[in-house]
Amino acid sequence: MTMVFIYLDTNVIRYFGKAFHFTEVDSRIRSHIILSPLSVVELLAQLGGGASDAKESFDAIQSMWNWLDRSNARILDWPRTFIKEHVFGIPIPDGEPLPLVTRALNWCHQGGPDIPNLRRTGAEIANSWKAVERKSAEARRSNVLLLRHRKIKASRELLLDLSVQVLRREVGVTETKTDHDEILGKLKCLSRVADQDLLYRTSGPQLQFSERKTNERPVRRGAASLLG
Amino acid sequence: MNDQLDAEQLVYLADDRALYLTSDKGYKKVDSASQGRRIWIEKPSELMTAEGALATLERMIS
Repeated sequence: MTMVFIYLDTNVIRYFGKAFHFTEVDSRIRSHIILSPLSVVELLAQLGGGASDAKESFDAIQSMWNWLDRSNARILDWPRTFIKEHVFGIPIPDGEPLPLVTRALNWCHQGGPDIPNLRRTGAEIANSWKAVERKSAEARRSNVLLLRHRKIKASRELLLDLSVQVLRREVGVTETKTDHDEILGKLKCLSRVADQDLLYRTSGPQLQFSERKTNERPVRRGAASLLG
Repeated sequence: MNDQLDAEQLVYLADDRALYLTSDKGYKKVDSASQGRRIWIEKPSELMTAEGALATLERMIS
């Protein structure tokens, strides 16, 4: 039987923050859940925003303790850099966002002394996010995005048009010699990367992210400090 | 679904094992594509309770 994996949009993670604030999800279900970096970045960006959004986002991230697989928590690869590198052959520059994301997640789960840094990081991510949204607005104006795709029925076109072609435009590549099947094959590697990359591991009851080790349990009261 | 970032979420559906859970009804626009049946659109009220969220997750993996 194929082992499916489930990834969540940002709002769903926020809803899970309420649903699983005090409820632990069975490990059988946890093993199917993987984080989308796009959702996590949006959530982190809100940490640098208003108090209400920041608290809700922080609670949602804290709740991951109750619904992610603690022994094998995974995050999918960052699609833009992956596609740029593997589909278009464009080298990935420094500043790739995943390390910043995992560092911020570390702070969220550790709470306490790093809260000011966390808020600064959230603000940094928010600024980057605004830049991305500006690009989205420009793309919408140039009519390359979703609305024109609503009539598309072919399975391959969905992925190619909604993702690769948009990114092709973004990176300034008008044509690619790679055929559709080859592109789809490469895109499948996005999840294979996730199978290998662990976001954080645990040792007993402690949560340890891969970039940083700690002996502290996640601190739920950190939300109060965050907002203080 | 109204921006590039929402579209980027769909790229993971290239893997047949991937299921995307969202409350954004905008994704209905692409439900005619074969990947569309792996986009699960649920009501926020369903996902805000432990019972509702667990039931949804169980349905997805069954």
